[in-house]
Amino acid sequence: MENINSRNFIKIFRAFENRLNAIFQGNTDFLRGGSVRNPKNSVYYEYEKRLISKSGVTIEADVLYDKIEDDYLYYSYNIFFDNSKLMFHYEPTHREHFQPHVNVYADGKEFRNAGGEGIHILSHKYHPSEILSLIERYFA
Amino acid sequence: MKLSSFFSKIRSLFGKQEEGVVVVEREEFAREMREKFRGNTALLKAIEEGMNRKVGRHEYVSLAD
Repeated sequence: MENINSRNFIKIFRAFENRLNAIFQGNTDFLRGGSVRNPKNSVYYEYEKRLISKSGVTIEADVLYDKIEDDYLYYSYNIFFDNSKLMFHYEPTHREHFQPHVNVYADGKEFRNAGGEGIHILSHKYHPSEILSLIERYFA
Repeated sequence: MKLSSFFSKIRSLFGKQEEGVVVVEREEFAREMREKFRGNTALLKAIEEGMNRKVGRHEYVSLAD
């Protein structure tokens, strides 16, 4: 799998977009966003999308990429289903979210330890194609 | 005027879209980021820093105040 960087960002997210559309083709109730946004004279790429399927699954992708640092400033993929939620999150500038992680919410509640802290399951930096494979496998 | 050419003119008024890329203006982007990440000072500061990295002082944007 080709690692994401500032040169292939548009290509990879165009492929992400096409595949996500193909997965939910004819089975989508609501769509917003989808193109890669490139703020004029700025150093960022932004990709934002929200999709609600007819079977009630909501997919939200939200990505901000710094072309100069060649890294994410922020990414968040939320998958809502049956009153539960999987959240793939990475936010290097945040003191608690500087490592890529997954948050799990079941029956509307976040997984927490006895001390009330939300459990961040540390993960690798997810590639958009991996998120797609997961969506395809479990939620399509 | 062809209908398609009419729509392409309208699209060009609202921004350029080529190969899946939408170009948005700095001010519009700054406003959107301010709204979207309101309260997340660390992230807004980082976005602001990046936006001000390669521009003159008169073009600086402030996101995190």
